[in-house]
Amino acid sequence: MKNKIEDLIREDFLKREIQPNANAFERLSEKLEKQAVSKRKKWVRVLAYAASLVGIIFLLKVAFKVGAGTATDKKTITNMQPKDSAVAPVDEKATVIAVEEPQNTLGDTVEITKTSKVVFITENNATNISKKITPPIKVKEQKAIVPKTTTIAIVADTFKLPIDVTEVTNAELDALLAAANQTLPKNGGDSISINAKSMLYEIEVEINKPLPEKVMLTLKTSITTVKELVKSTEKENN
Amino acid sequence: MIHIYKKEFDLIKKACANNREAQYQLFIKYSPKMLSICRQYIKDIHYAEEVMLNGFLKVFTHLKAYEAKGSFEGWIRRIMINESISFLRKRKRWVFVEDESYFTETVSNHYETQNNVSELQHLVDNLHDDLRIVFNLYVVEGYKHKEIAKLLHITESASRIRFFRARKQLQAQYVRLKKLKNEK
Repeated sequence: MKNKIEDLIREDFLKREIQPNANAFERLSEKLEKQAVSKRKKWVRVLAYAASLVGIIFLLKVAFKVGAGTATDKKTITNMQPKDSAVAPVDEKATVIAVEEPQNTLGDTVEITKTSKVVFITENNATNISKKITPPIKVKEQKAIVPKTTTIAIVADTFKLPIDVTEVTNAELDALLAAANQTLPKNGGDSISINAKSMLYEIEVEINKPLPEKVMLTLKTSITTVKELVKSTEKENN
Repeated sequence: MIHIYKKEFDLIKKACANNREAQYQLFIKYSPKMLSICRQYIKDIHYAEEVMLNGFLKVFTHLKAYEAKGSFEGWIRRIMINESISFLRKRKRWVFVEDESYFTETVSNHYETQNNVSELQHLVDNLHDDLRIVFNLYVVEGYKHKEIAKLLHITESASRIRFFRARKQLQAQYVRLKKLKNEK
């Protein structure tokens, strides 16, 4: 009895054939057509997505390039020394020679002591602005690409030199740095204190800022100036 | 025999290249059997036919995946079974009201009287979907409980329990049917 019903069902089902509707293949054919079209559409969509992604990446690259300055304008600011003698003794007069070390990586820490020199190196020749740094500070050693205008602006701001930032050649920059170098001893030599810490900090901040942040900062400053102007005009009117 | 296989192989090749005529030939050859398989799992013949068409759609779109190692019929058969099971799974989530009288009338008049769907099919139809699937897979397709468990994502013991329940219910129904026939 147990197997009988199962055998009956098996035999019945395996023999059985049910004819589908007459238009069944037409329906199937329609479905196949639809699927082929949707497959083609899918490919087109995928290609469109890929193209737009490439476009966005390209635009972002261009935007960041514009934000970070052009490659020809780059200057390297280094405040590094060989890894072995990374910490200079405070008492001894140690001079840090700025050498571009390709093996140095970002994130290494160098201690700049009282007698350390901060050296600015330009592409053509090296010009030193050496100064004693009063407090021992720690900066992250990094080889950074700074737009020419930023370097010049910092130097010009420090030494209060008139400068047209927009059109400066390498020769002019060298001359400017040399002039700055000459003015130092005139104004009292070692006794003049440059706030190197703040200079370095400013440069670091400038370098590390992402483009959107820079844009936001400019917007904020412009808004505040506009507000101040409005306030002053209101006061004048009153 | 070799000639038949060669002919079928040529048809498959042509169907693979999206030749409608070849696809039609394969459909004509296998659709009655495949509809019967789908009907084993799905009570409503219209749904069963729809499932069969979807199965053939898969067959023709994935024909390149057929490696010609086993029989072509066996390959289609597996696709149809999987399609039917996935249809039943999806239907579990649906909430709708079936007009039983409509189905019994239309189905019996339009198809089943013409195609001699047996009383045994009606007995199997009375089983719950879960029991019917396991019963069909075990008895008709010859799957083992381990394979059924893997296919349905259940445990082997659950598959066994479902099969025994199905068998018990069928036996009871079969006895009742025999009694009714004898009375007549």
